[in-house]
Amino acid sequence: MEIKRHLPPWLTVVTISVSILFFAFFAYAVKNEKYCSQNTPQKADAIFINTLKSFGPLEREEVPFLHDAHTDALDKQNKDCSTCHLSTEFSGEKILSLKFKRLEDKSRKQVMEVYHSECIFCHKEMNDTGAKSGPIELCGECHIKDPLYTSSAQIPDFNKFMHFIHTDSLKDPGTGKTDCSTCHHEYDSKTGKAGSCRYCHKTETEENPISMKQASHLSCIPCHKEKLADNTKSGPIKCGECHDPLEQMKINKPQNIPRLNSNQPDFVLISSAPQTQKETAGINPVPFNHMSHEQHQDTCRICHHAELDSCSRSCHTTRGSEKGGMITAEQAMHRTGSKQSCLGCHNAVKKEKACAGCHSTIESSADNKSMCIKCHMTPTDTDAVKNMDSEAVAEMMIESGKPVLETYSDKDIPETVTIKEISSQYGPVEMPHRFIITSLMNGIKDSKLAGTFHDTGTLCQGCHHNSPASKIPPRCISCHSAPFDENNPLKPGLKAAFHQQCMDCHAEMGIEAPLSTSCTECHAVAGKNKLQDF
Amino acid sequence: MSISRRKFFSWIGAAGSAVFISSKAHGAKKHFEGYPESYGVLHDSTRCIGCRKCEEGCNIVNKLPEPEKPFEDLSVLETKRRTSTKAFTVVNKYTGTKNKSAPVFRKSQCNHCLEPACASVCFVKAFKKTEQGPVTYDPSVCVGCRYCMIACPFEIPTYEYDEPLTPRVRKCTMCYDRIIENKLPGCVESCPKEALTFGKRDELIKTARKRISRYPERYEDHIYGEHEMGGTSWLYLSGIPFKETGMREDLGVTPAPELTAGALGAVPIVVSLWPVLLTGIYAINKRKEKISKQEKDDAVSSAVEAANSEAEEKLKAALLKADKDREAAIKREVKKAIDEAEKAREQEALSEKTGEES
Repeated sequence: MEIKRHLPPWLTVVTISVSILFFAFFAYAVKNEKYCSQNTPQKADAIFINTLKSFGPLEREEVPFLHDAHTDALDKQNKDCSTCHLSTEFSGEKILSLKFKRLEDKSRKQVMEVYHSECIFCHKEMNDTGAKSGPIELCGECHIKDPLYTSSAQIPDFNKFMHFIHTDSLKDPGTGKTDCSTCHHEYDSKTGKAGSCRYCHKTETEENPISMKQASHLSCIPCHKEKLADNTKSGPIKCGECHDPLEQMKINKPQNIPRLNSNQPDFVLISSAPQTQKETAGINPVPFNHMSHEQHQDTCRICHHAELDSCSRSCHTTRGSEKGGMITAEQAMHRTGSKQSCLGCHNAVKKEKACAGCHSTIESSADNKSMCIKCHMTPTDTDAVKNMDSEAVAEMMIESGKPVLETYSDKDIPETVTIKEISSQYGPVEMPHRFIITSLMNGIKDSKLAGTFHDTGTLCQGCHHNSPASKIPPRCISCHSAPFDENNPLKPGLKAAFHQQCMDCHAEMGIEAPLSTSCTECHAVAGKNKLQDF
Repeated sequence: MSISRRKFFSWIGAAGSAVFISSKAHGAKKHFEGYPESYGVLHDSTRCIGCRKCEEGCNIVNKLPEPEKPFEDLSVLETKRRTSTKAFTVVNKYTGTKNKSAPVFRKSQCNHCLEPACASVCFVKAFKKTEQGPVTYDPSVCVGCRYCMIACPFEIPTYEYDEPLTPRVRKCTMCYDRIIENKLPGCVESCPKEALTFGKRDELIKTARKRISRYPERYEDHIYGEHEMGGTSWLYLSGIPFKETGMREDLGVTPAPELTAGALGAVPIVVSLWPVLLTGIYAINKRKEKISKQEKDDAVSSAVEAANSEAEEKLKAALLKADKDREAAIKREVKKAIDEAEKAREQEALSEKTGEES
């Protein structure tokens, strides 16, 4: 009787542990799925409060905070920014602190107190009126381990299109002019020079200029609010309207916008010699088409990264200066790794698919000294130059070397070329020679850069390399013969020369067909003989 | 007197350090940097397109059996393969973390180490590092112990398990027979893109450096095989970290034989010196034991002698004393008897006198 009534104790233990394990696994799986799902909503106004990090490691999880939800709630009660943000005097102006209910972070305790008392106080107040409110009691309601959303906020790019939208809408209806000093508070009305905000307002607040973050929020939002109150065309106020990448994409880029006017020159004669000296020291000056370069960039900051001035006047001087980080004028123009230098920017363009086929293999212009003259042009009329100012000289030189994008006429370009020198396992290759050239030309036909730097035969040199441009270039076999030439180890043999040239170019240009590993897509199927013991 | 434990260890220690010092002196020669003018192959995985032509070339020149799937079938690249008795070289496909859409292909075969581990473990010298660079194998002396397979850090040699009578170890020979005929190795010959470059190893290293410096963005700044395991005749260039192409980066630069050279170099000395040394120790011990036994015996006998004589003397003295005592006792008894007789006579005389009177 005893045995029948009771289960054996070990069986009970096993059953319970198995069920616990099963339940735990199930719970984990469910939770994990939720956690790992790619659909965690992204919010541009999401801020993760973790100020205490600056005082050491956090004791509890950072607090997710939706800024727009709070401004909306306050708006309903006719409360404004000052409900949460205190104001302070800064260089004679009253400015709002971006911090919550405090002007500075004094100590861990102070910051923690501010958040705990002020947040909860307000939530309680809201709760008492019966409105929807945030957490009041439990720590874990704010300090959430797995937040339900992530931040998608991106710093908006204030480019020339955005600039135009602003100047256009701020135009005085009477005069049709825009007062630049509305935003550019350092604006010099005489010279008309106004730099980018970022020249002064850096990432962090310094002694006087406040941080870019603070400056933009304190300048943009009040102005937008003002316009909104006047019922005129206005900009965004809420976080997401500026910071949401999707919203940013919605902004229309106006076409044919006028040049940004900062009294900049149209043409510049970049010279290594002092401005006063017409005679140049050794190397020819470079005529630079400032106007045309403006069209290809979204902001002036791409090149003028520190201030709107001549690169070499006080920063990148011939010998380098402390202000310019000891980077000399020569380096500033030629550094290949830099985004701001001429060569660096041009090299970045050469990585585009239309260009990369040839430019990934041919010698870089930084190494090819015969390319110097492309920029350091020889003045055409040396006598006339003496009586002209440098801008006019630059313009004249640029006019004389206007970009021409052309190659030889079709009759000089063989339509097909049959490669049959080494066919053994596979048959010869019928190469659509003229089609390749036409395709390459089509890829760069709109590129002024290519037009400037390519001559008539340059495109041919993409394949017919290492020999002067000519209508009848040397045959490949003239240079490439047996592989592994000890005297010229970088030169491939004929078979590899063909395969490398075609396959690498196709790979760089993203051309998928013909497939490199599918021999018969190029080669005729039947060769002279099958691959056998060679 | 026997040898003390401490003494024994000090002798052994002295003997050990003598062996160590002698082997150190033996092994302190300059690091072997390969035979001068020896050949090698440079595999540039940035040029490799994964066409398997090298596998086909290898198959043909080595007269290997036809593969299950033809060499044109590139689906085999989807699984990781290793060298086998039927394929001395295989190409595997890897996905680097840098550009996930562009697969990287890496050819695997014997690396022909400058100081091969397989050759160093082979006790019948079936493996040989030739002056031309290839590590060759002589099946006629092989006993099939397969130590070479265990020793190889690249897991290259394979064994003909399906060959019941004359199983051989099989691996790439770098086409030694073709090299001495001034021909290219089969794989190099058939590569369409010169992803495999054949040449003198020293020159290949220079070429590889030139490629890296000319296209620094394209290559990892490292030539695999230049120093790995003391250097290999087969060298590699890659656009992604080598470990992402399944290559071991934990091997270090010490050639495998050097790891065991100290211990193995000590073998002749141990074999020749230790028996003499230990026999010597044994003989000295034995002699000591013998001498001490002798001394002990002498001591015992002299001690016994001394004890005996002493005992004798004691006995003599005792006997003497006993004699004296006996004599004294006799004298005393005699005297006593005389006294008693005297008394009796006096008594008798007295009674006679009294009887007479009465």
